[in-house]
Amino acid sequence: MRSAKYATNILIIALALAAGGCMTTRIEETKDVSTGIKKGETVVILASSYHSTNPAEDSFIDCLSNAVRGGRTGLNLHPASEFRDALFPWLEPRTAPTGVDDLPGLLQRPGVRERVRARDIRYIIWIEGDTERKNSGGSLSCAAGPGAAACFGLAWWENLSSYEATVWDLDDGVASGKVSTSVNGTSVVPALIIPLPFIARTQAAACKGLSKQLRSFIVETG
Amino acid sequence: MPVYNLNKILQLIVSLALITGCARSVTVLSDFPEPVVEPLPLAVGIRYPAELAEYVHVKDPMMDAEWTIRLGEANMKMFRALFAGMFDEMVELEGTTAGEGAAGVDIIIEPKLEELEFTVPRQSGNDQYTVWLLYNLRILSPEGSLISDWRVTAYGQQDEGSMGTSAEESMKAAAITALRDAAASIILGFPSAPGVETHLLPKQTPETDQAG
Repeated sequence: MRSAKYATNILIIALALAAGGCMTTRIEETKDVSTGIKKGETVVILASSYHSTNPAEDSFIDCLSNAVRGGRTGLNLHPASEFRDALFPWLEPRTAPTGVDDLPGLLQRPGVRERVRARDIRYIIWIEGDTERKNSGGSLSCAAGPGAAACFGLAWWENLSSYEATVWDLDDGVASGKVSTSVNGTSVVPALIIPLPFIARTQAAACKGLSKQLRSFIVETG
Repeated sequence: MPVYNLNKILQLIVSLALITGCARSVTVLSDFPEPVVEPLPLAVGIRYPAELAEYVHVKDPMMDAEWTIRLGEANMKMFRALFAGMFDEMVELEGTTAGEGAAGVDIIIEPKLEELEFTVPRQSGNDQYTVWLLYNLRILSPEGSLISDWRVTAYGQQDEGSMGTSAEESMKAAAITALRDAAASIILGFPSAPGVETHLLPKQTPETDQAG
């Protein structure tokens, strides 16, 4: 009786672990200059231009924006669309700075520095990267008939979510550093009559990991 | 009991949806910000042709429903915001015909949208809706003689909508990005546009060339 209860508990724990899929996460940080943010200062998150780099998906930018706002060390986030409009056309894909070397040129354009100051924007965070399918396999077939349906087989796929955040300090006109995350995950859908999806949500994990690291990167001085 | 492959079932559902799918229609509406630039010291007359203000593109791409994209109102809003910020003085030459001269201006600009092309994810095999625009800005002297035909291309793309975002919204966002790209391209390229440099730059001082 007791051993049956243990076996049930172990099965539940195994299923709970498996339901999240199998993932490995790597986070790296390079800080070039000291950071820190004062009360009232804000940050803005922008996707890198598709003309020059590998811009992150809109869904990832949305997730990251929501995540960096949350929690005890949440940042004041300025809306990206308002900032692009305020500096139009200098943050469009065609005109956006492609490296920190272009930052002084941007800030020297007529009216730009004044508009940045008016919004108390201290940091621009540029995001690039994507989620891609690395591998897949297996086979899953479903059968349907009058009053009954069933699936048999096993399908799996491996996703890699790699994103990099480059932080620019607008007060000093320098690059503060970079934070990057890479999450590899394998999803599995075994089916014996009913398919059981164990999905590795690599993009969500990358969003969570990057947002946490970004907050500490900016908030913690030094 | 008959056995079907899951992929085949999905393909059948998608095919049926395509066959019975209704046409897609997008009316692009957006406000455009005035550019943050030092206005050029020019008085410019703008003549908007009716086809720019009423522009509609209809296309039935392979592997997708017929699309109707109405860009007229967005065209006008983009150009009005752009030219208002770009030049010291701007007047709209209403009630005049193409190629006609105008008094009290340094140049006349007649913008025209010559081509619109788009792709949908099913065509391109990626997850992007893309819009490509080709404008012709006809630049005339105050007397109405042609200085140059300046062609400007612009491009916009938008991720395929995830849950909650429709195909129409993604196409609209791609079109708005393309319109903003057109404005950026005109601001950057105007001082070196064909004929403009020789006709107008002598009137400017070096610090007014903001496109640098």
